[in-house]
Amino acid sequence: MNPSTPPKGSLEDLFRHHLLESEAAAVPPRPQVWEQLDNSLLLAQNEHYRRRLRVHRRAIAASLLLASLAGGGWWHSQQPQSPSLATATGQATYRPDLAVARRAAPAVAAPAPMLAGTTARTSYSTLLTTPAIDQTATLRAAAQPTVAYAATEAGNGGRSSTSTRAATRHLGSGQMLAASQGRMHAASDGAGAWAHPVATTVPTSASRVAGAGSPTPLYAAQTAERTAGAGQQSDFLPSTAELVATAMGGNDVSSTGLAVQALSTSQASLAGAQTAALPASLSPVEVVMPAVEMTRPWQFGLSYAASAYQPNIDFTKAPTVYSAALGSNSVSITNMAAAEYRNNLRAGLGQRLGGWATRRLGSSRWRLRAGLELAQNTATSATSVSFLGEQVADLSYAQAMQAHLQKTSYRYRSVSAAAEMRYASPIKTGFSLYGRVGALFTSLLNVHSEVEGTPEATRTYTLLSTDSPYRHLTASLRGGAGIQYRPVGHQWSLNLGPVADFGILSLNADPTQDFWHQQRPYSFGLEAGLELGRPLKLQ
Amino acid sequence: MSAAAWPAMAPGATNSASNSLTVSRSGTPTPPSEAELIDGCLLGRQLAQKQLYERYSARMMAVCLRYAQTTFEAEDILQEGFLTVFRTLASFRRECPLEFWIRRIMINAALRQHRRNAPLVAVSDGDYPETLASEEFTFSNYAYSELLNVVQELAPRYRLVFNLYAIEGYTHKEIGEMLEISEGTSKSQYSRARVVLQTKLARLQPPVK
Repeated sequence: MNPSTPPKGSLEDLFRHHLLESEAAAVPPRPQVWEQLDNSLLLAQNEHYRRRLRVHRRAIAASLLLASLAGGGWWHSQQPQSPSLATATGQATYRPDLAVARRAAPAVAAPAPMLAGTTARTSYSTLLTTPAIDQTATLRAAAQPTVAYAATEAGNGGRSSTSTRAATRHLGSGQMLAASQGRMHAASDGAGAWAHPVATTVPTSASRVAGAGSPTPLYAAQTAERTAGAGQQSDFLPSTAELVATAMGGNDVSSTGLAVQALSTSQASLAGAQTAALPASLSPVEVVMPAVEMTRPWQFGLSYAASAYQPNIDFTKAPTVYSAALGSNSVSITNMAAAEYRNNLRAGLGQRLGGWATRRLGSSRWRLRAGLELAQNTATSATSVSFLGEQVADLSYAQAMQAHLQKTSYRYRSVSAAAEMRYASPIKTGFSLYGRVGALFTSLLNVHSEVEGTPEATRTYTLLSTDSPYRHLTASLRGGAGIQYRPVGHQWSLNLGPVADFGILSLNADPTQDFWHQQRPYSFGLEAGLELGRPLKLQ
Repeated sequence: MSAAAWPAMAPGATNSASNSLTVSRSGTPTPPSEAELIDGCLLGRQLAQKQLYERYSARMMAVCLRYAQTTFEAEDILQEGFLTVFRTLASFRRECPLEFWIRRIMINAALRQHRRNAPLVAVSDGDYPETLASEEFTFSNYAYSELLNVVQELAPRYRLVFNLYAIEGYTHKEIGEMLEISEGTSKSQYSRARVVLQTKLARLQPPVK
């Protein structure tokens, strides 16, 4: 380039030369810009700390809740099992009236079949238990007097359980029925264990009866007993066996009745003798042996929940809908107003009252719940432009002249239809845990919002309001868990536990954000409920 | 961004001796390096934030002025841009000069400002011829402030397209993607902006033949 000629160039070169060259020597912005920027950074930092604090608080609350639930569960597991729990797990215990019924049933049926053998069964506390199926078999036998059975009972006098086997065998053309299955349990742990002679005597009698070819239905019973422990013996058993053998050998119905009576008497005496022989710590305990029965499939209940409700709504609008009343500053002021609304938005008290119908799904632990809820939620915010969040798009200049923050309050009333799956034990009494998850559809009935000290800013939107910025119908997910208390012998239960709701849709009817970036309402709270009826009934 | 834009990002932003954070062994205050400033900002240190702002604010203000119609609007863009810088500094991968990264953020802030304001601003082209013959301009005949005023007087969309194409070096395709317009529209608007600028420059100074 010739130094004598001034530099020349195209239009682009001219602007590039001047505008870029002068950048280095450009005038810095006014000092107020940094002050505003610094203030904004400080606010952003505070918001960051506030969010972190909120997360920490929630984490601590969740940890405490989890710890308390775990502690409660552990404490509950350390408690001795309740009678109903024993029933639920298939354990049956002594019930005097059932024992009487068992004794009475063969006696009533005695005239028809020849019957030998009855059982009397005694359990001592929870250590001496009988499988529940045994009771069922006994009741079935009582209902069918023509069928008798022979029971073999082996009593373990000190340690674990009593094992019973009942077997019925038809011999020949079905007229004669002989049952003789006895199990003698070999003693493995008791030096003083012994097998009573009846164990060998009765099979012999049964064989003889079967061999005689009696036309009368014949039932033979064989009882083998082994008593372990201190060598306690009963003197009644030999006589019982002899009576049975005599009755069978004589093939006489009347004598069979006598034999049964004698057997009942002697076994009752045996029970008394065993009772007397037991240490005081193992004295018989009478406990109720309830049976499980399916009752009506529906339960009904009420619930109340108190929670912290956060509408978490973002009223930022597309610039096209902003009011132009503020001139060229419309966008910045309305954006600032919307940001201020969100920054100051605080959760409020939410209350729900619900009515529920619960249906049992088979005999499983899952139940389907459906219900209606009425809710009232509140929230607060603060504004310096005298606006309510939903009025961002309609700001006028007069409303933007406030100099200080004013509290704004919101109240949302709604009705919801909810459906949930609930997991809980249907028969467990006392304390137990439950969990539930579901969805609810909410219709926003009424929204009332007002600015403190500015009554003209008050707004109320109803279902019929066409200008409502809120969705009339929203959906959300709900989950919860807690502790259920069901008292023994009552048809109601109480539930208490935390519950959380998460909105699927934003509260804002016309969000500018895409679906995944919308701000959705949520709430965390505690719910208490009362349920009437129980899906499985204990008799 | 096109490589044509890189020469515009020439370093030389150490325009303030008062930016010192550290003191050398000889006792002379030395301005903090770019990496030190970034690290300080990432730690949330207010002093580092202020020094970073002071180092780049004047240069970025010049950028914002070209995209804005008024000084106030330019300051708004600058403030929004620096807020974004401090919030997203952790995502800066240090693969290019920090100034280039900040400049890009300022341009994006200007675009956002333009999107917000566009519906409210009526666009008037005025009375200008469709095309003008290409001509040469003597650089010394024009002052920076005159050229800046001419650019600021352009309609917002023309101003954007002209700045992005002529000054920053973006292609029409890139501009079309940024402004969500077609490449042809970008070319057309640039052509119109060019005519307007030529006409206005002609009114300022007679062209040198």
